[in-house]
Parts: sequence; C-alpha cells; structure tokens
Amino acid sequence: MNSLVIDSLSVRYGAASLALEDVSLTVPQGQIVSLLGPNGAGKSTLMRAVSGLLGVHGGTVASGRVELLGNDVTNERSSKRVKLGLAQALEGRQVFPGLTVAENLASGAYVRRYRKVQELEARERVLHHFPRLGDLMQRKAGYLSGGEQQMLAIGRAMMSQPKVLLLDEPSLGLAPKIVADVRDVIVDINKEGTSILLVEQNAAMAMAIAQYGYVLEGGRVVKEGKAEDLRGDAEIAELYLGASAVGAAEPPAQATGIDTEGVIQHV
Amino acid sequence: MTTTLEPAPIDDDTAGVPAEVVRTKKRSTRVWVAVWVVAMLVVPWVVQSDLWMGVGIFALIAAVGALGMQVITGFAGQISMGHAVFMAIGAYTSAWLGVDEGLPVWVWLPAAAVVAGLAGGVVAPAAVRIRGLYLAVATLALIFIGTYVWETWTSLSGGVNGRTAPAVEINGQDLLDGYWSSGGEEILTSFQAWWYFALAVLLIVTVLTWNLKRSRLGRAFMAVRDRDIAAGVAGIPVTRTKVVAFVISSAFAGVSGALLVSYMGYFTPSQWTMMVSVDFIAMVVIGGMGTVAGAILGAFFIKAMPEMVNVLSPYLPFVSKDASADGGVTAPLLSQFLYGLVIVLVLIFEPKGLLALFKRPIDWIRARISGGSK
Repeated sequence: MNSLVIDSLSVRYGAASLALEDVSLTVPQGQIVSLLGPNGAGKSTLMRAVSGLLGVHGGTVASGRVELLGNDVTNERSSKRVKLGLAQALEGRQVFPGLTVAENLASGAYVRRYRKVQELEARERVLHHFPRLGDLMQRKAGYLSGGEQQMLAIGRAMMSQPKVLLLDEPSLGLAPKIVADVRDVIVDINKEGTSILLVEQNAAMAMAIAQYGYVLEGGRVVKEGKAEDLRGDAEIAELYLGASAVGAAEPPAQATGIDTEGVIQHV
Repeated sequence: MTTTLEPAPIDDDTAGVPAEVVRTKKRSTRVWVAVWVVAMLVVPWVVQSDLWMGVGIFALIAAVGALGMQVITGFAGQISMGHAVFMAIGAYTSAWLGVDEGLPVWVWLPAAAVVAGLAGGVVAPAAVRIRGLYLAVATLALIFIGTYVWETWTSLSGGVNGRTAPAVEINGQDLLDGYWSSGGEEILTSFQAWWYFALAVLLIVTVLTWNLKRSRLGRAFMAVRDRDIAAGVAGIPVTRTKVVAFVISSAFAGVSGALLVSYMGYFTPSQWTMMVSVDFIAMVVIGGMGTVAGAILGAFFIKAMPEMVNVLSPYLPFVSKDASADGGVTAPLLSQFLYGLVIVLVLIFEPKGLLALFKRPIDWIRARISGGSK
C-alpha cells in the first residue's frame, strides 16, 4: 500500500513552460521519503500539487495524477485532502502569529470537528512529541522562537492525525541543536506509522532519516534511489552533502558538524 | 504577502505568564464584565442629562455595528467599506416589515439581520477574491450603488425626502413614549426604555461575538487573517470562511441600522455615506483590533467625542460655540480635528487600542500585587 503516489505529473504556471515535467514519486506506507534539489527545481511546486494549493499560486496540473491513500485527488480541494489524511508543515514556519499556541493547534484540527475531549487527546499526542509547547499554550505564536515556531507548525499539522505528512524545509534557519531535535521528532512521528515526504536543503539530515530519496532538477526527477545508495553517490555528495549546499541555512563549519552527527547516529 | 491586513497587533498579555496567573486573569475578566453590565444597568438612573442619554443610546446602537466590523476586520482581516450599505439594508428591511407590513419588532429586527446577512452573502463571493486596498475600494463602490438604489426606489425609501421608521413597541407601547404601568404610571422614561432595549440587543450580539471568537469558526477567521495559505493547508476553506465572516458582519450591521433608524424615527437615502463606514473602522481601530471589548469601547468613544468637544467648547480658547461667518474654529470642526488626531495617536502610541491603554495600569497593579505575594 502506498500512501502517496505521484504519477507522471506535469504542472505549469500560466502560459509559462512546465514547472514540473513528467514527475513520478511514491511514498510507501510508513516510510520517510526525501526530496532533494536546488532552488527552483520544482520542490515547492510538487508540494503544492500534493496539498492542493496550486490554484492559489496560479498553477494548474497539465497532465498526470496525484493519488492519496488510494484516492485520486488530482483536482480535489485542499480541505478534502486534509480530511483524507494529509497534513503539511509549510516552509518558513507559517504559524498564525495572532493566535495562541493552543489556538494554533486547535486550528490544525479544523477538518476533524473534534469534541473537546478528542481535541485534548490529539493535543496530548502532539505535546508528547513537543513537550516544550505545553509550557507555551497561552502565548501568542508570533512571540515564539524560530525553533518553537517550527515545532508548532509540525504540531499543528499533527493535530488532524494525518496518515501522510508533508514537511517543507523543517530545518531551514534553525540552530544545529534544534535541527537535531526536529530530526528526532520526525523519526518518532514516522515510527508511529505516519508516512512522511520530506523536502530538505539539509541533505545530510534528510538522507540520514529517509529510506528513499529523489533528486529534482529543472522540474524533472534526475536521480532516485535508496537513501544509503544516494549517500554513497559521489555526485550527490558533492552537490548536496558538501558545505556548499547546506551553507544557505547555516554556517558551513557548524553545518558539517551537525551533518556528521546525523549520519553517525542513524547509519 | 498573502494576508490582506498586517497581522493584528499581537496581544502579549499572557506571554510567559504562569498558568496560575492566566486563570486569575480569566477570573478577573469575568469580574470586569459583571462590573460593566451592572454599570450599564445603573446608568439610566444616574445620568439625568437628556443629551448624554441620547449619546449613550446612539453609542449602544453603534456598538452593535462595531462588533460586526470587528468580525470582518478584526477577526477575519478584511477591510470592508460596505458597512453603511448593510446598515441601510437592515434599516429598509425594518421599515418595510415594521411600517408597511405592520409587523412587530421581534419580526422586523431579526429580519433586518437576515436580509442584510443574505445581502452580504451575495456580495461576498466577489469581494473575497480581492485583497487589502482593492477590497476597500470595491466595497466603497457599494456605498455609491446603494445610495443610487435608495434614491431611485422611492416606493421603499420615500426618495430624497426619506421615510418613517418602525417604532419599537413592547406590549403595545412605543418605547419612545416611555414604558407605563397599566395604572398609567411611568415606569421608565423614553430614554431609560430605549437604553435598556438597545443594551439588551447589544448584550445578545456581544455574547454571540464573544462565543464566535472562541469557536472553531472564529479561529478559522483569525487563521485566514494571519496566514491564508497556512490556513488552506490546515484544511480551512479560505474563500468560504471569508464569505461567512462577511455574512455575520453584515447581519450585525443590519441590526444596528434597523435600531438606528427606529430610534431616529425618520431616515433618508443620503445618510448612508462613506463616513458611516469610516466611523465603524475608526471604532475598531481606536478601541482595539480583534477584541470584543475594544469594539464597544471604540463605539462609545467615537459617539461621545463630538459631544464632549461641544460641551467643553465654551471653556476652550479660540473655539466659537456657533458657526461663525469669519471662519473661526467651531466645535464640530475641532471635533473632526481631534478625531483624526486620536486615530494617529492610537496608531503611533498604542496600536492595540484604547482597550490596551486601560488594561495597562490594571496589569501593572496586578503584577505588583502578585510580585509582592511571592
């Protein structure tokens, strides 16, 4: 059983050339699949096609299909996809700054229409992964630190008890120690049975926890394989695992440090 | 960015405050609400001035509309200039049902809410696709369309001469004549009766708004206001949520409009101007964006300020009491200056509004007390 299947998907924005061309990708049940690629490769477009937000950004599916838990959702609204069991933590930690942490979490459960007891249960499960948020319940999310906001963004996504979780650059702009925390939480969430599609600039982190990886360039999948094979791939190592690729998010020296740690812990 | 307004000023009341103190604050909120309600009940027996009772009743009526503006602007983050139109729709609905059809207040007042809400629902799907200033301009156009319609539809509006509004009759007594016992004794004066009636409506709308803010729907409004893309990702239908905010806001405006004309007794198509909408935006900005109490506070402030200036004008230098031919500063002119000045001062010094300004000394005292007890 596959949680998410993208089949020969092509996407265009307006009359421009294709932003995604004939992309196929599969997230098997219970696995972490990682998506690598430079800026402009089409990672965000792919995420939008999965979450149903292409229309908001003026994009359309030119051909191909998106299948979520066995349902064809290519043209479904995003609320329908969330109901089916999809959740997403957006790039840039898009929490609702004017709402408290508790309210942010509650809005993540919007489609589930929980009773109060169910909502508290869902919240307990989230807080089990992010105990720090428990101390911040009444604080406005706009006042949280970057790491706390990232945890809240993932926690909010978890409130709908998704079967498939999309994570867009969860390590972006976070301190190395926090990146390690976030990585551990992703692994924990996955162990509980949630399939995860992880888009990451921090390729070493992504490859350390993923079972399978895809490399996207210029809107096409140029390489795919098991994580351990991709880790050993000389070209990938040079392009994504070296200091140059992670440098965007963190100072190279520190980044290398945390990358090594990640690989050592999980290989 | 994706939001139509800057995210509302963040109210950091509870940041870093232990849960125990948060509970204390909730309890003290209840105390303040109780104090406010009791004070409002006592006002008509304490205030003897006809002038100030009149101002107070207009403020209560305006507060209903301000809560509507708070829903669309403060909660859902959409700037709407169309409030005057939806007030007018509520007013004409009440006049049609209350005067032309002779139906009682408990029919025409809810009907004003329903018809204005439906009108909001008709306009909203077009309006919610545009953002920010574009939305403001598009809804501004509604005002001119509305004025044209009212002036043309003379059988309903009476044309430029205006028409009578329905009276609020309870047990067959027009509240404008006061409320009398069966023995012919006056129980409530005209002002007292109308004060309590307007207050009752305001309390209902306040409770509705307060519950809305804490509900799933209210959270969806604020999620759309803060980050509409993230709201969409969380499964909140962004467009439908904005439409619902429009409908609720318009319904409250309709109630406010119906009450307003009923209290005035007579109204014309030309009174539903842009300034009416601007006043409501000013109320929520000055009172405090995104808060229930802020909208009510703002309504009282905006309604009371011109009269305050008028009353004080004999004691102020350079202000002439009456309009003068030599172009001196008159009280209405001064009050307009102050109106602008207050908005600017609030935006610069206390973007969270007057409500936050009043809360500040209370919080300071509370911090002192709880700090001392530790």
